[in-house]
Amino acid sequence: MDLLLINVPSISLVYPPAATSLLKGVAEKAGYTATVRDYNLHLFSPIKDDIDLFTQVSNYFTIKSTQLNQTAQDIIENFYDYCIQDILDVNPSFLGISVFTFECQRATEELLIKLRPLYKGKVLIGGAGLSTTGIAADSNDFGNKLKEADLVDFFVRGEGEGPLLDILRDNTENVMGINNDEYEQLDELESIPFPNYDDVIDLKYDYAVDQIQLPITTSRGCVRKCTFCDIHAFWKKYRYRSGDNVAEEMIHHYNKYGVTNFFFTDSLINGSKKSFEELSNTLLKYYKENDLPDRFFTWGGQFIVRSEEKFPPYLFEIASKSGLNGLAMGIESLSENVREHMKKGFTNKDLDYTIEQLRKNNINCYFLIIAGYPTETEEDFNETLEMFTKYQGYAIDGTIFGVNLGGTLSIDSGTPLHINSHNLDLDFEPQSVDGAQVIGLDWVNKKNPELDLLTRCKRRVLLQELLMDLGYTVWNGDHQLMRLKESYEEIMGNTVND
Amino acid sequence: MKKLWEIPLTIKINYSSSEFQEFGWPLVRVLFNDKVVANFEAESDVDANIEFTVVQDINLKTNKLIVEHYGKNYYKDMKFFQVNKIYVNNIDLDKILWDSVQHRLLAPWEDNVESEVKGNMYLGHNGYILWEFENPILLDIQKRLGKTVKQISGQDSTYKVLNEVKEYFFNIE
Repeated sequence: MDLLLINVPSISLVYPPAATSLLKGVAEKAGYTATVRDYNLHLFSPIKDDIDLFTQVSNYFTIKSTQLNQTAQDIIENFYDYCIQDILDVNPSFLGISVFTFECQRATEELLIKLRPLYKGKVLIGGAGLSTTGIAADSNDFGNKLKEADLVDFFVRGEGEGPLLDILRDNTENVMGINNDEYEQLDELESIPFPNYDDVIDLKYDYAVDQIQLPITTSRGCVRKCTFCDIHAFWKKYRYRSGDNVAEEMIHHYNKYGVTNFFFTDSLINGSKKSFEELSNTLLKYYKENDLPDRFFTWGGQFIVRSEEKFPPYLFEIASKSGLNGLAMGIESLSENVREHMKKGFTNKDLDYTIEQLRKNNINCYFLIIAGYPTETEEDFNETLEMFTKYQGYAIDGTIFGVNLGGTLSIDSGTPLHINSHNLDLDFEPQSVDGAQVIGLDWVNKKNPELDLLTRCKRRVLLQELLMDLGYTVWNGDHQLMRLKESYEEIMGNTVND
Repeated sequence: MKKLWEIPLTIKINYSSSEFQEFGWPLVRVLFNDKVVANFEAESDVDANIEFTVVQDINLKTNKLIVEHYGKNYYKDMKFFQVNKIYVNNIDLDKILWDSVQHRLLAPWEDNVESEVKGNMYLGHNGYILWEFENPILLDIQKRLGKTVKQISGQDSTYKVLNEVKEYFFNIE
């Protein structure tokens, strides 16, 4: 076996991870043998119905102070033993680890510490989790750390398709993205082969939709440049596939696996109106030609709010008939003032229009919200509370099927808030640093000083309380609140100079 | 900040009714928790709406919504009133509509006709349709519509953790 690609904890179980199966397809098309193992699923699947145990094991990888009982300790020890034995059994020439987010760092490091003395092949890691402070950070702390510790041979920064083949071909000297932080963005996404899900299609994921759902990536980058986001810094250009090409991939997976449900991993699925419309129409044409009903396929993903003028009702209608459902929308704040500073690019009127179109066309959605943006005043926060009260009906009838509040705003490296923090009067809290570029949770806005970290934490809590009282489904709130509490304790116990 | 039960409920009833006849339009009144909140002549033989706003009483175990057709002379006219849709704060009650009981005042000659019938929106008799909702009404509607999406394993939000963390942050000086 040339290449073994693995997923490690802790990532979601909702569908097969995209990256490993995508890279398997890339390697195979180039003539290499490759296989995928989802060790994350292997760990969590047997314990997913035991909430306490699941939470404890999950928190181990993401919350440093987690105390494990003996059962959880045994599970984690056995897990590493299993992974190591399996890797040795497969005995690949190359082992690729997907470090999907920083929450995969602990498992990656602990696994490699145990594995490295036993495994003679080459180890490479890649993914957004190479940097703890955001994917657009100038330097990746985790990748460099493991390289310096000789736990890996290669880390891959940026898109993995090209560097992976370079590594397999032993062409790693002075290649952008391999063991350095320079990377090039692919221009032609349609040149990437379709993912190969053969190794994971029969595994029992915790599908939210009670049927197999596969991820598809149709674009990279974003058309907007929100101040808190690093996507546009990481992917400088918005690149997208044609609607026809995306439909072709969906039909390919349907013919191969019988799968009809897809989730797009993109930062947004309606960045190109042309591609969005083309995808809807191509799917409708396919249904008609094959005597299939409307909504035969289901597809969803992250969706940006646009005005009626830019995204007229007929687009919702054809998209709904073609199967659009399950949208994740980065609303961030229900205060227009706050969103304006964020450069979200839509008004309350646009949001009212969009959400009503979703209800009318039987498309459900999920809100992503940030409590505690630097310019958020008490009045802005109250406006958000009022707007959620106004929108309650959409939660009751299932149009809004969930809200994710995150922790509170953590400023990532490479975001406009980080880069321009001095001009924006952002400073570290509790100890000021002259001319600082703030990063993380411990910041304060000198123009809005009442919004200190404690106030932000309180607002985050109050917002969740209101939403739960109103009947909204708040996703992942327990984990986020526990981590927020731990972060607060860490920050208040340490100053930035410590 | 308003509590859940303090949020006003705007109820819209979409209806059809019989044409204007010698004895006028059908007479209809709507009661919410035994108080008349709308009383009108159903002046339309095509779809029309009646809308009103109420506040729920959290002290009641259940809230009652009644749509009553009255004033029909069984000997002389053929009036009817039919509920097509009900919206609460723009939420379509959809299948909950059928979770109701119609109570009819029968004509003297109707020996073999049931005086109570479930899930019938057509009021050809004098009588009323009764819907019952638990408090808070909107959460009861949410439960009965059943359109919530299941939570992913380990991604729950519980009041237990919320209250613990709330207590922690709100007790910091």
